[in-house]
Amino acid sequence: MLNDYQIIKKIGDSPALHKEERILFRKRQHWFLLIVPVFFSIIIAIAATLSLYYFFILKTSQIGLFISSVFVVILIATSAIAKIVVDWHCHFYILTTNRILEVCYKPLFSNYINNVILNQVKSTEIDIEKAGIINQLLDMGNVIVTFDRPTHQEEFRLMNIKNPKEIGFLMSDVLDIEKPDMMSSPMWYKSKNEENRFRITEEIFPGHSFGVT
Amino acid sequence: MNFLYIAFYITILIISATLGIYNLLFAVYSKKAENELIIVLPGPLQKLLILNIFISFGSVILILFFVLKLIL
Repeated sequence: MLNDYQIIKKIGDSPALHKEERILFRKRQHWFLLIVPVFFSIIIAIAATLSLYYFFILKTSQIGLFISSVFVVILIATSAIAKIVVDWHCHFYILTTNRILEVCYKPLFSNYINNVILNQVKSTEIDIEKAGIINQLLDMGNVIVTFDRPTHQEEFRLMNIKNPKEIGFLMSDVLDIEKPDMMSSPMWYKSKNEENRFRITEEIFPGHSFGVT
Repeated sequence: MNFLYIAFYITILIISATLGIYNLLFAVYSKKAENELIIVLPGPLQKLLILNIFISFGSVILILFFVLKLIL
């Protein structure tokens, strides 16, 4: 005989969020991570253009070849930059009072969502790492939370975020508090009904885009 | 020598067309992120993806023009 909380219901029948759940922070990786690959993409594109100029204009006088290949170089560089920026933009962490969430969406390549329900795990360790001169100067680092699950230990890593110390202390506070038992609510699944699709982030920001900082 | 030039043109034509298709798919899947995960890309980034598609389209036409000019 199933209890109420064991029955799986459609997300459309569910309340949007747990009543007491609220967002504590939303974080992306530090913007500095964008600078190096974007800078190198631009440098490589300029070097390639200069090489093409040398071969096709100075050596062989093929203006058509030069113009065509410069377009391709520009296309490759802008495509690479767009991919780097989109990957950075679609990778973020959210901490609420009930869960910790990592969303890493790489359009066309991969899709990864790690959702840890905090009252189902025991946090045993929170490490704050800030190694290297650049990390010290930019106040950038990692926060590693170790969860002791019934079967194994698992680490949740918030990589290269700004203010890791502040975030680590905030997480220590949150994870230290005993969580209310969420299992009184039913579990939800993704409905095939397009109008009531399960949107993990829409629950948090109904009808809005992420204002992730 | 002409054969080498034509081979080079064809190579960059293929690269350009492939990148155009890639950018188109990338833009479509970015839109999908907006629908499924409510992650909206910044406006300039969306414009960059569309611009890339147009650059690709333009360069394919340009390369074809140069190849035809070389052949005919």
